[in-house]
Parts: sequence; C-alpha cells; structure tokens
Amino acid sequence: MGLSERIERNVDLSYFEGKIPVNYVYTYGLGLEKFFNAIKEKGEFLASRCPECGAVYFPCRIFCERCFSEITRTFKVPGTGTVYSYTVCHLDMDGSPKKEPDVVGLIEVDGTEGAKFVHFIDAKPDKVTIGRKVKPVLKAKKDREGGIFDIKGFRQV
Amino acid sequence: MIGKVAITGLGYTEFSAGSPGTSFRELTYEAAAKAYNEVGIEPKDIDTFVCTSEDFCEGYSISDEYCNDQLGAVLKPVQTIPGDAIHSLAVGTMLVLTGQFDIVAVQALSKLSNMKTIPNMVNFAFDPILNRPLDEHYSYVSGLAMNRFLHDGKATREQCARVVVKNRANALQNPVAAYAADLTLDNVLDSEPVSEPVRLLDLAQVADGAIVFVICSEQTARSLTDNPIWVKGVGWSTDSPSLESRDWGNAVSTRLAGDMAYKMAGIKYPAREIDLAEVTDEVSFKELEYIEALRLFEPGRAGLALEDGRTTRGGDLPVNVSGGDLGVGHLFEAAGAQKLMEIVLQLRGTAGSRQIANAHTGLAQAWRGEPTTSAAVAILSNK
Ligand SMILES: [Zn+2]
Repeated sequence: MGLSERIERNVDLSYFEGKIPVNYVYTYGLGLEKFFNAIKEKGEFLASRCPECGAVYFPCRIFCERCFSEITRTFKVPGTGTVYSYTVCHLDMDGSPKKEPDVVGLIEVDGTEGAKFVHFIDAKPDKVTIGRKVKPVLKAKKDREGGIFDIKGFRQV
Repeated sequence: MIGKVAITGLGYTEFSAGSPGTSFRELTYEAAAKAYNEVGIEPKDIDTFVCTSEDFCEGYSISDEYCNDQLGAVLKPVQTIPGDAIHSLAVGTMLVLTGQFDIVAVQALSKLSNMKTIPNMVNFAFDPILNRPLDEHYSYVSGLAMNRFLHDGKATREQCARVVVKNRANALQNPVAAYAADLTLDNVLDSEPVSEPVRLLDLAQVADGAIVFVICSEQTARSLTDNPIWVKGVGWSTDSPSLESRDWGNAVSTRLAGDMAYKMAGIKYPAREIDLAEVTDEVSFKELEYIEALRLFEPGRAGLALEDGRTTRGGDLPVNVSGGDLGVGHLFEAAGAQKLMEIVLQLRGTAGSRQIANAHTGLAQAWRGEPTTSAAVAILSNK
C-alpha cells in the first residue's frame, strides 16, 4: 500500500501490544526528609526562608529557586491555611471514573507569604469555598510513615 | 534578530483520532517527503535536523534515537528537543544563524493513539513524593487553575465554553482537523464533569499527525521559494516545576516567552502589530489566559473580545482559526508545530476557506501541557 491509501479501521491491521515496567526509588533529599520527619515525630510543619531574598518555601528546602542562595534554617508554621482554589475530581489517575468524586485543594499556607500545598479537602464538593480557612488532619502518631499521607487531608474550619 | 531565517518548506499529514495503518515513523516520513518536495530538495541537501520527541510518548525510552531514519537523517547531524516544537523551531533558527548550517529540517509528531495509558504517563511527570501519591487524573491541575481564574473574575464560565464552540467550529473549515464540530454553549456546559470546573468538552482530545518544516538562510530561502515566511522572533520560558511555588494564575512563562519574541521581532504594540494568533487551548480557559499574557488584549478583556467576535475568523485579531488544540486535536509535543503550520499557511495566503485577509504577521504560542509550566512563542511574517 502507499501512504495515500491509509487504512482508518483497526481491523486486519497488525500491532504488538507492549508494556514498559518502570520501578524507581525516589530520594527525599535533605529538605523533604526534615519536613516529613517533623510531621511524623512532632506533628509540626516546617517552612524555610531564603536568607538573601526572603522567599519562603513550604515544604522547607535547602536552596532558593529565585536567587539560588543556600537555605540552612527552617521555622515552624501552624500548618493551617486558606483555600486558594479547589477542584472536584471525577477521574482516577488512570482516567477511570470514581464512585465518589474527591475534592483536591490548593491551600495557601499560613505564615509562608503565599506558598501553596496540594492535598485533599475532606468535605462534600458543594460545601467547599475559595477563601475558607482550613487545618491539616494528621494520622495518629503510631500510624505515621514519613510521607504525604501522614497528613490525611485538610478540613474546613 | 541578526540575519534572516525563513520557513520555506512545510509538509504535514492529516490529524486524526487514530492512525492505525501508519507507524509513527511512517507519519514523519509522509510529512518530511512533502516538505522536501515542496522546495525541491532531498535529504542530502539538508545540513542538520532538529526533532521533537518526549520519551515514552512513542513507546520508547531514549526515543530520540528513533527520530532520524524517517527524515533521511541517518549519519547526519541530528538533535532532539524534549519540549514543544516551537522550542525546536527556535533551535533550528539559531543553527541557521550560526552560519554553519544553511538548510535545517525541523520535525514534530504525535502518535498518542498508540498509548493506552496516557494519564499514567502524564502522572509520571508529577512530583513523586508530594503530588503523585494523590493518584488523581492530571487534569486536576487545570481544574485548580481554572477555578481560581473564574474566581478572580478573569472570564466567565460561559466565555470559557464559548472558546470551545468557536474553535471546534473553526475546525469545520480545516480539512485536516480531527475534531471539527458545531456545538452549542450548553453542549459544553452540560458535558461530563472531569476536574470541575473543567468538563469533558473543555479538554482537547488526543490526535495523531506529523509536521516537518524546512528552514534556511535568507539567500537560500529566496532561491528555494517565492513565498518565504520569516522567523522574526522566538522566545521561551519555564516557571518553577513545583505546584507549591509556581505562580498560579498569571501565565508568567507565556508572558516572558512572548516578551522575548516581541523584543527580537521589534514589536512594540502586539495588539496592533499581530494579525492573527494560534495559542494553546488544550483546556478552554487557557486561550483567554494566554492571549492576555501575550498582551494581545488588556487584562480581563479577552472574554469580552471573544463575545464581541474580535477573535473569530472575521474579527480584528483572529485566535485559533485552525481550530486550535480543541478542534484540530491535542498533539502533545507537536502542538506548537500545528500552530506554526497554520500561521505559515495563512501568511502564504494558502489557508483556503479559512484564509484571513491581509495577514502579514502571526504569532504561535504553545504550552507543554499539564503539569508543566513551559511556554514557547514564535513570531512569523511574510514581509
Ligand atoms: Zn532567595
């Protein structure tokens, strides 16, 4: 066949079905290690402020993405915040429909001069509003593993 | 810009929801053969090749190793850009400007119909520790952005739906578009919720297709063609990859990419000097956000301009006459190539029933898609 005779139907055409398995170990690094340890051990939330330009990062980091300075100190913030935006999610990661939609929030974190944090908001979709105050809900200390789900999500207050 | 660089040859396939009879390399071969034929050259005449390819999209890791044979580029200098095709045009332009390469081929392709798990691939682009564990479909980032965009009063929900209606109707005049349709606002507003406020029809659907450009120096351009389209300026920028620290709601990377391209092109008043624009409308509201970021409309005015018909085919600044990502199809890294292609056809005066009268300067902008913040802009002119 020539290119001008392109077949548009899927029947009678050959293909090979393949799969790329990719497994990986993701290193937390110094910043996130400290951030998740503080949540796990003390239920505390750590931000960091750039000593040169004053930019604040949440979760804490060891370098400033705006001025390239090293950041060595962290400080505690309450972990509370405001709903900057939210979305009602009807699809799972693979594109399949969910039984019940999830609400994902973009939280502006208190004491961080505008840093955002993405997590679930534990509320019915029609009860969530932009501008509402939220607080994090942590797992019981014995169940914490040092990852994002040590925070179960945020709840509107 | 120092020196002049022109797009002389253009070759493309049709864009379609699937291309089961043609492999991804055959798609590129078709586009390349047409581009070379248009200007009467053969691969041996081409000094270097710039491809556009993301790992995994075609089912390979190190996918750039599989870009060359279908272009006639085996044992030739080749490089691959893992970004948008407008980044590749920028690189090709710079290669010509070095004076070391006279004729350059720039390629881009989408064969995403072959990928059975697109959301999983896109989710692999998210931060693995902070964001990926949420296990949400990647359009949630667009949902967060669009909800704040509406909350800030930058446009109305109806105006966003109107972008979809306009662009899919525009595609009716584009014989190679995959998703031409005559829709109503209610069709869009009542479509299935995906990541609310984003609904199914707010999102561009995946399409296959390939595009190849031949670009060259001024002297060679004039010998190859009577209608060279000049690359007047290029610009590109990327905000922070972190959802936590990026600038939500200001499309800063598109603003900076546009300003860089305008400066290079010597454009001081974009709204007056740009005759038409092709910008990302992969999610409906992005078109409105980007045409403001590109200074084509005053802040907060894009939605009204749309309602007033200023961005339709007959308006004073048509946007996405081709049909955009919504009407032509979402081409991933080839998205910018489709936008460049439309500007080239319009500036040549060969856009058929969708031809814009008196078009001399056009802008193409592309965003690399969720969850990225990369944007690239090119300004083309027929003068
Ligand atoms: Zn700093």
